[in-house]
Amino acid sequence: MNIFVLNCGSSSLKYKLIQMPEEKELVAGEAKRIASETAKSPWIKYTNEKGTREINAEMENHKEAFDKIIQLLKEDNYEDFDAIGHRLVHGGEKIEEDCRVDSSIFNILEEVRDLAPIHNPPVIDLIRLCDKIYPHTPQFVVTDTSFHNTIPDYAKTYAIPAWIREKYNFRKYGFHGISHKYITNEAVRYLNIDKNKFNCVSCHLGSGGASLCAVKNGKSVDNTMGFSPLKGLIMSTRTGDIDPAIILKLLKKNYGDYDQVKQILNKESGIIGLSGVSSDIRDIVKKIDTANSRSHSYRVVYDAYIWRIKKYLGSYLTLLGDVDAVIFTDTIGEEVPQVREDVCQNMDIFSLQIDPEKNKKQKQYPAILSKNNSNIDILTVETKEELQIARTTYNLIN
Amino acid sequence: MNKILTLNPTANNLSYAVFSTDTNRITSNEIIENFRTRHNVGADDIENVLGIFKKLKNAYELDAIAIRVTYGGEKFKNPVVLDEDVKNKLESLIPEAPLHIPFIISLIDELLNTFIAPIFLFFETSFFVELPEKEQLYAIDTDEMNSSKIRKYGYHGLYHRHGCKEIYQTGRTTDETQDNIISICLEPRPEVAGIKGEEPVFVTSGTTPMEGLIGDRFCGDIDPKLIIEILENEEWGTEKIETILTQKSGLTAMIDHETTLEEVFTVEENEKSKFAQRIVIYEILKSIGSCLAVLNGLDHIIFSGRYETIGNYIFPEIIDKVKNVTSDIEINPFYLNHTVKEIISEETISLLK
Repeated sequence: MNIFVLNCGSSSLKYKLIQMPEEKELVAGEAKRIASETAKSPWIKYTNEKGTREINAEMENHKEAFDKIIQLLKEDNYEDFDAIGHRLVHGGEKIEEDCRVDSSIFNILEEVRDLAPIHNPPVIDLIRLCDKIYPHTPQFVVTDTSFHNTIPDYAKTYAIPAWIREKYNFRKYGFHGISHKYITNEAVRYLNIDKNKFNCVSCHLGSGGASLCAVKNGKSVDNTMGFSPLKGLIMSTRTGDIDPAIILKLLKKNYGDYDQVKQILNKESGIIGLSGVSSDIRDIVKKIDTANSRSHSYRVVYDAYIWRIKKYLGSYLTLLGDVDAVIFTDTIGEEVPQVREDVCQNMDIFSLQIDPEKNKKQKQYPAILSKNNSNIDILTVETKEELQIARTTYNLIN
Repeated sequence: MNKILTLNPTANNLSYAVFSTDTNRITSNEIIENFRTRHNVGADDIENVLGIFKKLKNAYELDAIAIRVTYGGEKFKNPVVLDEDVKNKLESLIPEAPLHIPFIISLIDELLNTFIAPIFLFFETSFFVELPEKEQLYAIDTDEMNSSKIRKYGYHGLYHRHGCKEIYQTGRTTDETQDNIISICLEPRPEVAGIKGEEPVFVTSGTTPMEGLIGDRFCGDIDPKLIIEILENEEWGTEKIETILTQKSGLTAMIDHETTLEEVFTVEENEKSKFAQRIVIYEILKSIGSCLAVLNGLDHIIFSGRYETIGNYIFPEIIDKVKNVTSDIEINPFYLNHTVKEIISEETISLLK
């Protein structure tokens, strides 16, 4: 059985065709930098048994990216797949469990569309598009929120009047659950530790969104995101944590136009809002290295990005206590050693010691990056959300 | 015996106390409920306030008047004696704090009409003016706000600074520049600060006290999307949302009736109060963890504020978690049992010398 997995990020569309249950990747790739203001042009990575190609392609939105990916699959005669598995970022209260898409779910999908305004709309549009193009192929949604159902009530309750909480289902949901779950399982396997006794902080640092997850006894107990993926770390275009009074001020300034404020908070803030030149922290790192008159302001952006991660890492290390590992994953967590080093630097109080040489020279995944005397292992693990989605989809079919 | 009049104006009330200059002992301590100045009320209320001020003038020979001011922006890094320049600076802060600063200016005008003693101003934000840029920054384009003044402050700087001073004066430390201090101010709007030597490097409050820990009636940290979601679905203006988030949220919302941090830990005994306690402790532990990460060490923990004794309930949980992180640590909490009026009186006496 071949499962076509689609994973919409805020500025990317990862895809994989996976033969199950063998977990054999037939085709894999990613459309990158879709409609994002970065220094590089958008492009598609396409890998099959013959090798990898990188194709420059203008992509204004996820639909255009999908069309181009399907063209590439057709060229290899891989268009006949048995099921499609979609990553849905925010299932809310309506879609708590991963499930098959049927006629009844389309209305529910519309109800959760705006819960994650960057992520959910392209996924839902893609599900509708696939329903038209492939009406006889079953589709499944695998949510990013289900892994966080184990967060205790005291960690997910907002201190606002109960009737408002209940009316709008306001609570912390947590996100990137598919990745945090996969990473936790991989680390358990790699370190050969009993999952039920495994405590870690999983740092999913993406080129778009990012979150940290506190994992106790193999289960999520906290996540830096909240009711929406807007809260927490400084992200590419999202603010992360912000004083509610600033939101009220922004609303007043924009005469109550909440669509405009949503646009500002979700798409014009974060790294792009601070730097004004790029939404990608890798671009900022390069600009710090290049001496110019704005070097100081780029340094400040980078320092603020690292500082926020450090603060949450400290929180979770303290709350968890006996921590086995700190794990870095996703684009920035896997590819930018400087970020890993700066996050872990001067954390001796936690007996967390990164080995700069191992960190810089790391080429394989998973890898241990900590010094031998570090009480906590520092790992980098390649996230494979698509494989996790394929596994879930396969289990739901069967 | 000469005296100092200390004033602590809040949103609705003005509490005042008179201290003896030589002993810093309190002589008189009152609260004027529903306090208003010429700025925001009619003549009857003003007559009432002026009447109280006149009584104070007749009863005491004042060496100085000390006022606690919540907000001083970046213009006031230290306490100041009121003069024309200070007044001009205060007026320039009106756009940043459009409700608070006019109220303070108006109060000062009433005082100048009655007293001739010098007026000292103590700003809660002064302690945080030099907060590291990476801590004070929000990831938002300041052009969107038409302002470059969107940054974090702390709002209990007087307690934090005085707590540090007490630690250093009582010889609890050997290195005043490098000691790592976590200062937990338990007020109706609680606040945790991480301090290296005498410099703050972390604080839970934000550009206003709305951000941060859960308060008696303040929501504390929430996902900003909640506000948007409410506006999309309710016919409410931003003022109504602000009222809910600052007056009907926090512990009051968790317990379902008006309450305080102190009552939640000492009076209320039900499932809701136990749950509220859990949330309070959890939020404080999270901020302790952040402090440990940015300080990379811990030498002192200070509890202050009107609910400082609640630290007795919280400290065992803190030390339990800290010892899990670093077992070879021995810390006894320091409880600063001074009121903010005692603090500004003491500082005024020291400035007069």
